[in-house]
Amino acid sequence: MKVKEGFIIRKVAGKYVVVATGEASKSFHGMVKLNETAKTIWEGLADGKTPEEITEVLMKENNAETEEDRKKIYDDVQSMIGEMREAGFLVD
Amino acid sequence: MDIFNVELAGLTIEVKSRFEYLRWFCRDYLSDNETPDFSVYAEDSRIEELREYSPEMRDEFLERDAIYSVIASKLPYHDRVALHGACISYKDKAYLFTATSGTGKSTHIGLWKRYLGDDVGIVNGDKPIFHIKPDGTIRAYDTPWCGKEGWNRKHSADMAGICFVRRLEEEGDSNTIRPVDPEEAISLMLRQMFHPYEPEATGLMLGLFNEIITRLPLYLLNCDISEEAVKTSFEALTGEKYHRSEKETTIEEINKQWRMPR
Repeated sequence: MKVKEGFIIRKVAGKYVVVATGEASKSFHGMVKLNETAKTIWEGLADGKTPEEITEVLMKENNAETEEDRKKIYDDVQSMIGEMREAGFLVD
Repeated sequence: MDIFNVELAGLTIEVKSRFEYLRWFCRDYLSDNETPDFSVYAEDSRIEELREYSPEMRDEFLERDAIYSVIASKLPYHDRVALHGACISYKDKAYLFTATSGTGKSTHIGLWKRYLGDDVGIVNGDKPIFHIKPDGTIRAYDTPWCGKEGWNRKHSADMAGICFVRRLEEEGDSNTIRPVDPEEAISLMLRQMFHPYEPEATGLMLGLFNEIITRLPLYLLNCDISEEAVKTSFEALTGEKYHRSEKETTIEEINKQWRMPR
């Protein structure tokens, strides 16, 4: 599972903004705004990380330690992956 | 192949074209400078992409519009961007009115000219270029691509504000204007920015977009086509008290002053 090629992510006015270029722009014309957590998930997927690995990155970023935190973060990661898949941003 | 240089937004650009029409279209922008900043040619694929949207359009017009896209795609490498909107000057300061097509940007700048007269000049009615300069200023430039009204003059000025235009939802509502913060401007304005073909240029474009929305005052105008609409945007953008000029400028006179022959 990976983010399709051609998406560019940049910090604009304090938000992370994603736009499509090249082939990706033919199926997606809009723009996505991400918060810090969503940006970490997006970049993790773009780097080819697994949901488990991304969860660990977010654990560190948020100074989270408990299993309860881990489960909650993992659920957030999966839920965003679901949304990204639905929007057509991912390739398997 | 016809090859010529143009000067656009302070850059020299080498243009290679199939049709002589393009040189005529760019006639006010031809340059003797022999060391261009970059060179453009509209590949067949670019022309065919545009043909899909406008199947009736003649080949020389398709090439004209495709060349604009190729130029706009390269601008971010030179700290410049193309932004869809109607740009005017008032007392040497430039103001951009932006919105999706059909909202009434041209109508609104036409009303400024009608009621405010000689102090209002046209920069470009549809596709101005902006130079985000290292000294903190943003300069608006004219281009020969100027929409269906054809409003453009060789005229550049430093930007003093951007106004997003919306039509009043119900007839009889009053004209209103309010400031917009940079975060809200992302949703309002990013789709009016020209998005380059290349990922690298797109990244640069987003950086320049960030400069534009964080450096300039931004407003959201809800308006009709009355004099009150002009008063509303004029006072917010310029900070001056509204004062109509002694004589109204007719639409015929506006076209005489602003329209480029096609």
